[in-house]
Amino acid sequence: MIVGVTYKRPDYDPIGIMKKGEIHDLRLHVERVETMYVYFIYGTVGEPEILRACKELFVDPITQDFSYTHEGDSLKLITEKNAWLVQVKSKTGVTDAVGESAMKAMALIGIHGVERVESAFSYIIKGKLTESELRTVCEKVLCNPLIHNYRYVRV
Amino acid sequence: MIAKEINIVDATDEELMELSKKGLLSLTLDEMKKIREYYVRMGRNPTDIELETIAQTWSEHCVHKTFKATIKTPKGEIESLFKSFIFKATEELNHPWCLSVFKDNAGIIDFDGKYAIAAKVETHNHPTALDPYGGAGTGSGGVFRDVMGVGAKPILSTDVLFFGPLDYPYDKLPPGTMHPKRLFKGSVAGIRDYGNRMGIPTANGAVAFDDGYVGNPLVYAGCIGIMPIERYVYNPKPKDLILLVGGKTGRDGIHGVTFASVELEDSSEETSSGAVQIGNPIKEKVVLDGLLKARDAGSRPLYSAVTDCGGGGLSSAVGEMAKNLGANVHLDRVPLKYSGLKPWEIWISESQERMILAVPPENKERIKEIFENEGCEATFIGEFRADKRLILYYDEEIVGELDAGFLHDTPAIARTAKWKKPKEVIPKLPRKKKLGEDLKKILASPNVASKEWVIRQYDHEVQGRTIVKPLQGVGFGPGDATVLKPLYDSWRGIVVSNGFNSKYSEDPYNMALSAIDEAMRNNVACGGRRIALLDNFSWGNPEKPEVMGALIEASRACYDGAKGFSAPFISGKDSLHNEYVYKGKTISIPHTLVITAIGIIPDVRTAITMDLKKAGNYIYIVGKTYDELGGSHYLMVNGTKGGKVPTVNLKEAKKSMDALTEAMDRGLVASCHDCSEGGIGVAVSEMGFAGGLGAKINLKKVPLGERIKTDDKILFSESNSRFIVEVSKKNAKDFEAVMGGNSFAKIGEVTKQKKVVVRGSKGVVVSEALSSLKRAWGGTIKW
Repeated sequence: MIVGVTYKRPDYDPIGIMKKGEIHDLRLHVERVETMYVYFIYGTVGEPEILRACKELFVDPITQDFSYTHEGDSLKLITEKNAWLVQVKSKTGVTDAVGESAMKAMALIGIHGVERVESAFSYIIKGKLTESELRTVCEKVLCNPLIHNYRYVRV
Repeated sequence: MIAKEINIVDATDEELMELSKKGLLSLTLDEMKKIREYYVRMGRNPTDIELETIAQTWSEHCVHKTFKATIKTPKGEIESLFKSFIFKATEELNHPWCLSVFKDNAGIIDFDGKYAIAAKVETHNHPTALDPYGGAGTGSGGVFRDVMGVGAKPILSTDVLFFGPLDYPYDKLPPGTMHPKRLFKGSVAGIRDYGNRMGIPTANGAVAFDDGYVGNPLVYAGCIGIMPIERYVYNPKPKDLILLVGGKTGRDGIHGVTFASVELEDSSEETSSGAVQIGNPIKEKVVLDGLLKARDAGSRPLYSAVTDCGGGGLSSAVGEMAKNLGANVHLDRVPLKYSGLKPWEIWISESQERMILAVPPENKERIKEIFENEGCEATFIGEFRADKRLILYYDEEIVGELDAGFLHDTPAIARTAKWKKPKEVIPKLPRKKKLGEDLKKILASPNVASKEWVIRQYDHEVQGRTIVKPLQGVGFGPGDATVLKPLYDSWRGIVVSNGFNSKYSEDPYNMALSAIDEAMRNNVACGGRRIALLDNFSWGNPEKPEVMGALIEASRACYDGAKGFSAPFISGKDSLHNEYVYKGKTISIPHTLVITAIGIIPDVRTAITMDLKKAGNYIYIVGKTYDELGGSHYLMVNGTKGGKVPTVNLKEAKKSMDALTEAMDRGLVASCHDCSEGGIGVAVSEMGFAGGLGAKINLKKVPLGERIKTDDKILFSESNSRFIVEVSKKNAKDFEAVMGGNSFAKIGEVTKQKKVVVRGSKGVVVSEALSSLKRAWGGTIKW
């Protein structure tokens, strides 16, 4: 199961606003950066449990929305068009503290059958960036290539 | 055999060095020869794990070789910087309130006879350069564990950060380094998340910028803890069990720093994951909760010793505890993050959030239950012996066997030093009639400018103990020190401050003395006394004689400063080899010494803040002003250099600080601010906009230590040991009586009009609205 958590409005999204500023520091200009927290949940967990985990753990209902899918590409959770979508995830072997905490928290609210949770971060970047500019943005602003892998698509 | 035998017994000298280099052991030829000698005597070769253990134990990080080295200087030999200067002052002062100094993970001093304060500051420079978020965060996590490692509860996190200029051009960055702005933002986020998530207030610190830190940022993470004195134990015994608590073990930090210089590709995932340390504050919180319960569970703690598992991992933590005992360690019992780790990797891994306890066998079940009830993994991995043999097992097979005597008999090294004081250059300054623009430029320069953007991200209130906070008054001015009230049923408080100035580093003696004076006066300005100091050096390569010479100069100042102020050093740490190669040139960081001062205040309700309180009050200056513009902000904003670096007259400084404390205790001081970067001009402006009140001062009244011809030098000189003090008209006479015999003068008064007006020798030189000064100060670091 893959869960994505987004902000209801761009001005609620502190990381997006900060990343946009950092992209501007590179002298590249984008219109908007939005973020999505992504959780990959492995194990035998049913849809009602996932819904509960979203509502009780992953989402602040005042500022955030969520969506989920059973399988496939997490970037497909993003409905935005005409944008670059980037996903940043820890490399194998790098401790995923967010994933560990999410798994522990699910057990604490009585959701069982979770074998592993991995976390990632997705970005929606609106604006005119070439592919090589986007790569620069990924490596200088969105991730640390030493510990993160990233991938991107144009939609 | 799971462990690999490494042939050194009949290796040539070249082969020994090749081995040290290839295996990333960082051992010198002399050290490798000493190892060969030992194994020739033993009649066998070492295993990989044995060699790794020796390398870890003998590393600069673990034994501080340079500070213990014999140093050849043109004036004769110095036996050890530590013994000759830093510890010597502590020893000679011999204050009974120093309970445990330079011995444990943290320095321990008395608080009120029943409780003790534990304090530690660490650097985490190289990990931060690789990954600012993880590096700075685990810096905090590590120093919290140092304080937990003496059985204390962390009640304050501190951070002092150094980066390259925020506007540094991207195209000039040395390859492979991150932009200073990114390092800065990432480090702040790392420290924020670790402290905030663990529930430890981050309420004291500083940020400074200089070209010299572009390729090598510095992160000093500190922690203050509180503990009942009677709950301190360090007495591991034979047959005591070795308990590992906290996080699982992975490849984190194994030879991490050395890996950093290797180009990493996607295929090298395994290795890259080792280079960076990732923190998990929630995990450390459960370790802390379990530890405090185990400490307080019975009439004695359930453990006989506890220590942090930090640099060098288990090898260092268990090795140190087993120094006089020996131990059996079963590495296969260590819980792992993933499979495939070799025994030596388990033994030296620097995975975070782990601690080691020595547990008497009778407490085995109880202590395990306590940790597990907190949701903290606790695993017995061996037991202590009585014969000083350290035996490492994996699946019942011996993979390493070492003699603790040999392991801890660190080879002495020798260093050479030379030092020549640079020639003084007289700075060229234009004659100026008005100084308002200069004042605003200094207020806006990144080192002086408001750090509100940083401070607001840190939770400085959690635990409800922070009395005097970093931003003060209605206008949120920069406070001098943080005052904590550690116990809920006592008004007695702890005052924490810091001092450093790497802009003075061309004159390392006065740089260090200035840092001590600044830390002292920040502390005294808030009401602190009975001050203890911590020293943290970040230096270049000590194998270079000039760099070593500068280190001696700074150490000498540490001795003089500690003695002069009667303020002993209780803990310290050094990070050497801070340099990087750019375009074939080796660039060393400016010599940087951060001093942390920890004082006591008998009643936190009498603590003083720096915001002006009431119009009509008098403004005094304490201390003499000299023509000391070397390394000053005034020269910097005017694009020039030279001049004398501020020094300290220790006798006068100590006397006037004691008198000021007395005046505070008598309730005569309304506000007080230390006068440092940017001099009188900056100090008065900050007090003004913090209090929302104006000030008018007259430079002609400022007591001078030497003849100074121009107003700008009086206004912006950065002479040490000076305070700006606000005193009500009613108390003025008493204040002057208490301060009698010291250099001080009434230089002006607080005004209702929201303006800072400075009168010089020929009329008004500054007349600026508070709002415009505040705007200049607040606009630089604001995102």
